[in-house]
Amino acid sequence: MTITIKSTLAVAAVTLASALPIAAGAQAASNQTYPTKPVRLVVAFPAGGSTDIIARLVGQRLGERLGQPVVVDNRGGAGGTIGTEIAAKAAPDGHTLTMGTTSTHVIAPAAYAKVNYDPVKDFEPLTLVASTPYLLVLNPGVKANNLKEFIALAKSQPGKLNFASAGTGSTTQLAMEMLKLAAGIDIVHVPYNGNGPAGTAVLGGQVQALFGSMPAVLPHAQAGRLRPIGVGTAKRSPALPNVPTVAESGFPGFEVSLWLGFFAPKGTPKPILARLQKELTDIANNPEMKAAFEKNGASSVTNTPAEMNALMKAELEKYSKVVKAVGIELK
Amino acid sequence: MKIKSQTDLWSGIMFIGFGLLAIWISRDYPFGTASRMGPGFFPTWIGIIMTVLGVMIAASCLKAEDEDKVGKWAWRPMILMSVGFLLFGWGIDHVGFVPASAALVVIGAAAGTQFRWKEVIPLAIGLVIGCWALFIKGLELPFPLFWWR
Amino acid sequence: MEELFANLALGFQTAVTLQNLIYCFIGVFVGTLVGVLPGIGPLAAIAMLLPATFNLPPVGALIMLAGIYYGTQYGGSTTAILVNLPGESASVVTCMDGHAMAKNGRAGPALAIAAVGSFFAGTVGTILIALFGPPLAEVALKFGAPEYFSLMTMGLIASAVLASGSMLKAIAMIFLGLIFGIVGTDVNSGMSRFTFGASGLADGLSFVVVAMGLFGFGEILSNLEKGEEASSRDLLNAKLTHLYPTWEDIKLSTGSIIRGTAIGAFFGTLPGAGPTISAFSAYALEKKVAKNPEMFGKGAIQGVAGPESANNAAAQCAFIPTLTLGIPGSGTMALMLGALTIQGIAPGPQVMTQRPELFWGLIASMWIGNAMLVILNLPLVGLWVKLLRVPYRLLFPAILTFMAIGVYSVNNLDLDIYLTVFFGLMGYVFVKLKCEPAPLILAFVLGPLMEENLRRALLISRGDPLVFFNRPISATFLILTILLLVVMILPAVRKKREVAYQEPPSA
Repeated sequence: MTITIKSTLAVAAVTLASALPIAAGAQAASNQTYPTKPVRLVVAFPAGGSTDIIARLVGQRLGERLGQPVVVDNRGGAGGTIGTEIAAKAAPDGHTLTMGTTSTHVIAPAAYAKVNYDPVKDFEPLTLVASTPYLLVLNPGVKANNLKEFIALAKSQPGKLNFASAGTGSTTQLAMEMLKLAAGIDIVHVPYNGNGPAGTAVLGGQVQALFGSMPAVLPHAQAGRLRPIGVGTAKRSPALPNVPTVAESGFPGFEVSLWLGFFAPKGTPKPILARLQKELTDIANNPEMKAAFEKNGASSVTNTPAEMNALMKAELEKYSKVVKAVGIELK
Repeated sequence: MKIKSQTDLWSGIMFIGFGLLAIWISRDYPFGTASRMGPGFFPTWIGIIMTVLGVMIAASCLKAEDEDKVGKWAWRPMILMSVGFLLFGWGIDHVGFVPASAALVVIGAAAGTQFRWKEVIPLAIGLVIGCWALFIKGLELPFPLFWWR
Repeated sequence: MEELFANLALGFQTAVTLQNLIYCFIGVFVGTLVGVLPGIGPLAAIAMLLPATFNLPPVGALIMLAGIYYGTQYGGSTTAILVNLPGESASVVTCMDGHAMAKNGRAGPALAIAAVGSFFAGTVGTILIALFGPPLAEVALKFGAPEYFSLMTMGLIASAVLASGSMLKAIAMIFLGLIFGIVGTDVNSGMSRFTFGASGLADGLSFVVVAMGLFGFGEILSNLEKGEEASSRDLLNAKLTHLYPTWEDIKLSTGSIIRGTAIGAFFGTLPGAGPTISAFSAYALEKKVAKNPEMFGKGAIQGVAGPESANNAAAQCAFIPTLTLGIPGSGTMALMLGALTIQGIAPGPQVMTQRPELFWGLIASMWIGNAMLVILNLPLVGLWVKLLRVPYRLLFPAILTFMAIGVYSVNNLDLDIYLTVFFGLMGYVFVKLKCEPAPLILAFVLGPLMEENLRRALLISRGDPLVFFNRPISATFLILTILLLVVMILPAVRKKREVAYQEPPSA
């Protein structure tokens, strides 16, 4: 708590300090007129996915507050690295922002042989807006009613079961790989082209299991078409109070979630950053937005740039271990 | 050995070229096995089949029923249209939408055989204004208008 | 049944207000105008126009979006028919006979029959959604990797039918299309292939680039080779007597529209390449059942009516998995799904029970959108045909400019413009060498799906190729593929024998 307050104060101080002296100069003019044109929000995933939906929800409100439309620019592919690289190299004038996630700012740098951006050095973190839990679901035809039974089933027939993922090196793959390592089971990874097709494969019974993102699988779990057997967060999800967490099912400390936050390219003027940070924090804390997030299986979270950097560093360490253990290297 | 169909001969050569190129590039990708295909499996086989098809098509030029010449190439439109497009691609980001599209209209029109300044200048002005209204005002595409903005 | 009428009544009550009809009209009108622009297909158009609907009430927004969706679809066909520029892969088929009709001075009937066919298909599609939405969605779930692979294989073989020249060249063009389709990141390994180190290619070649190059750029070059006078004459044939279809046209097209609708309704529910496969299959079917197969590629009205109906029925039925399962089958559907979510509707199994007025309102607005489209566009046919009266020397620089802006607007990437030049020159080379580009385009679209699903199927079956024959749906497609091959090869064999025995051709 003290750390939060301190860092908030520090950031505020730095922001003020850097903003005030120049305020009378040219930057004030640019700040007054910012944004001078529509703001591009690069989403490094295809339209319609969970990241995209959250980005559009927040982007619309941000546009209303900035007085210029926020245009979502979907640049999917290669685990989110393509879009994120585009955002990293965009002009740092506040007219290009990106929705960074665990995938783009932690997993991709850990899993790819070469990523043309540095998640910490090339970006100005603004704030987290949401976090989505991961939910382990089975096709209802699988003879396992909970995580214990599923692990026993996998152990009795090693290499027979399949799990779907949204792509090689995606969060959905790594979440399951973490569980595989912790439980010592052998399930074959079948990559799909995104969350939608992966979910369809489990719905249709082509593949037995998926550690899917909550927004993608929750409606199907609620409709009884997918069987939820474990939540990846530390606490149970309010949307599925009867489903135990993976941690309480015998894997203490297990935690996989996907956070989503806003980033600007490094070097974006401080006054613009401060403005965006304030607007975004307000939007994420807005009760209406919180309700909208919850409808999508996500919960609203905000933090400070310093906290975001610390979070990225901690997660980079955690996921790098899994990536090494599984031997994922993407080119 | 008389080449009857030039179009068959040259299209055969074109397919062989693309086929060999595909095989050559795919060397760098892991081939895998038939049951666990690597990223190189598919392109290598496509390259091989295409090369074979190319040879068959090229060979068919000898026994074609009718003479078939490729004919003259329209070099002037090919060069002018390409230059116009390339300039537009470079220009829209460097000198802005207005000069880039104006240049494309004029250079493009010059690719035809009936170029008249009296027609092309009004056409260019009309098109640039029309496209500005449509794409930049109407659809809010984020193109800079000139090099200073 | 009674329940259905009650539901539809609820839907129309929600949808039919003066205000909503105005929203619908604006959507269809703007959608048509934007869809006509070359390079701006439904996906781009909806993405651009989406923010305009944010501040409307939910039902109004949905109605306007439905209007935009149908408008852009139809607008794309208009461009394909008038100037041979396909905005999306399904329109490639419309180009072939639609533009040939335009060159014969019959752009009017082509546009009118496309509108009527689309309306019929849209109506049937809407009824299907209302009646059988959920069970149809189950069919989509039965499609696993082996089924997709077999379906794609069938589509590729069928695409060879599209060529009217040498079969061997058509097959080689399919393989060339497969190679262009490989460019980009491999889904199974995450590896970049054929990208030459350019990050702009990591997502693969964009369809718009390939289509604008091969069709638009290439077509203009070959027209300029003939001279502008000749090209103008082609488009302005003096025989332009009928603005609307004749009785003969309508008689020819009726069967095509019905068959096309059936094909489109079947393939449309499959996530992935529904509209493309539908349009190509409908074309192949029409060419097979027609009494005048030699007219195909030269302006057969069935070659417009069938595929256009199939395309529109598929576009309509693509809503089924989106609405009932929350699974978007295409980029456009993903965008519609996003729009629904922003309006507070979470598509999925519960949407019908939780928000019936919105769900049925949407169904009703779909039909209203389709009806509005036909009402708006039939009178516009005359206007579009007048566009062709512009002398070619002035028309082609305008097409070039619209093409360049359209291509650039997709990704704001200058590389795309340079690649369009490459494919444009290729397109001209193809014309000179008598290689037809349509099979290449289809392979370019379907190839990546075919490879991805082949490898996935073998991964799941642990390398057992029998998986393609053990599963009934997959086996059916493979049998159909073999039948298609036989049907294609037989005439060639017979022809050879005829030549060998020196029989007169068809006594």
